[in-house]
Amino acid sequence: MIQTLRQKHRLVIYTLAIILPLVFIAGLAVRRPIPVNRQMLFSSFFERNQR
Amino acid sequence: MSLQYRAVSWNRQKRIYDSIIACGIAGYLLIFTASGSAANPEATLETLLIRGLGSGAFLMLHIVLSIGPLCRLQPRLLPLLYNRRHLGVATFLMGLAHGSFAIFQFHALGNVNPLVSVLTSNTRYDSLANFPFQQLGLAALIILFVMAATSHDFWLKNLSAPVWKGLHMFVYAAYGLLIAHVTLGALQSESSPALASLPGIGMATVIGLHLAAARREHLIDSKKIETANDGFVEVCRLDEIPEKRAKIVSIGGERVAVFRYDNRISAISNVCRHQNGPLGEGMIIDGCVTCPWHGFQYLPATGASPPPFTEKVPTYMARIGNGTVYINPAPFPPGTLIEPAIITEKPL
Repeated sequence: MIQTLRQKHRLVIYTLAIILPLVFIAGLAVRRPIPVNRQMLFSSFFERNQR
Repeated sequence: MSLQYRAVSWNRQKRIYDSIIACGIAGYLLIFTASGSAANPEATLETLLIRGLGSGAFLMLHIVLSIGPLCRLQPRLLPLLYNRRHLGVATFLMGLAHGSFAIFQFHALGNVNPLVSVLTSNTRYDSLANFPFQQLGLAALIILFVMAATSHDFWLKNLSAPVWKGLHMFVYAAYGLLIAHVTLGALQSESSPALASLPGIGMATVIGLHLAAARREHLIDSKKIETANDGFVEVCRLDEIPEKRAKIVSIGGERVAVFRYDNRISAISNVCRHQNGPLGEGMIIDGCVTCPWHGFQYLPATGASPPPFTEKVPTYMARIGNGTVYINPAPFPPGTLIEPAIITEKPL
């Protein structure tokens, strides 16, 4: 009765088990130092609006 | 079980469960903002809240996804499953708050509609390092919304359990999108190796638990069944089934739960009509097979829920010979009365 659903579930898990680690590793591999405007990043929405 | 739909059928367990969720969320946000403020004194409350809500929702999704396989591997954790839908809805609300705050903070100042701004401000789909990660989060949020909106027995009943479960399997697509959203978004500027590795640890935990549960299920399904000349198949020795419990046997991929109770043996489908829960992992309470997931009940001899409820599951013919339990693998229509096999042998 639910055999088809269980097979689909298993297929989804196996697919994720392969794809997600690849995405994660690739995402970490392309990281590089990003220049950050700390004043802009940490100023509040309201402070920016008042300027 | 209930005969009518209510927004929430509150009971003591649900109140305790939801109180724990609410306290957990409040505690997490408090700790996150306090520690974030201590580590980055320049950080504003808005920034800390956006990050706290996002990381909280991501953590909760990990818990939601881990509950299923954990309960397969350790039945003592089944109470966690009872109200999982409330945890799922709370996860969506956390994600919605994160997305709303982020759109307000980063897309509300221009002359473009904020939602249009989310979709058009970055279109670097050709660059992994500059990938438009916000669109990934928005897509995941839309999936979580559909799931939260249909997280009710009204939809479960009207869509049918297989369709509803198929729809809710999109949670894995949402999870994949969120892994990419976090990896290509927040982690790109995260300098701490420990913090950067946390999503990887969470992902490995979720995938590892699912693979372990899948292996356990495969072992049940792949167990060889001996077929007798008259078509009956051997299930197990009689003394392998504890009183008021069941042995699950897989025949042609479909599972049958063989229950022992009051010197009787009855066999019914292992699949609960409510959410396809494993009836054979439940027990007999008040004379009824009780699903371990949400407490739906069936009479073991008929596979029918006691009146006034109307759920029915297929039944199977069982017999006992030389201390061994056999069943006929051909199912009877749901709700068909099959006389239980009587245990005449004295216990050892």
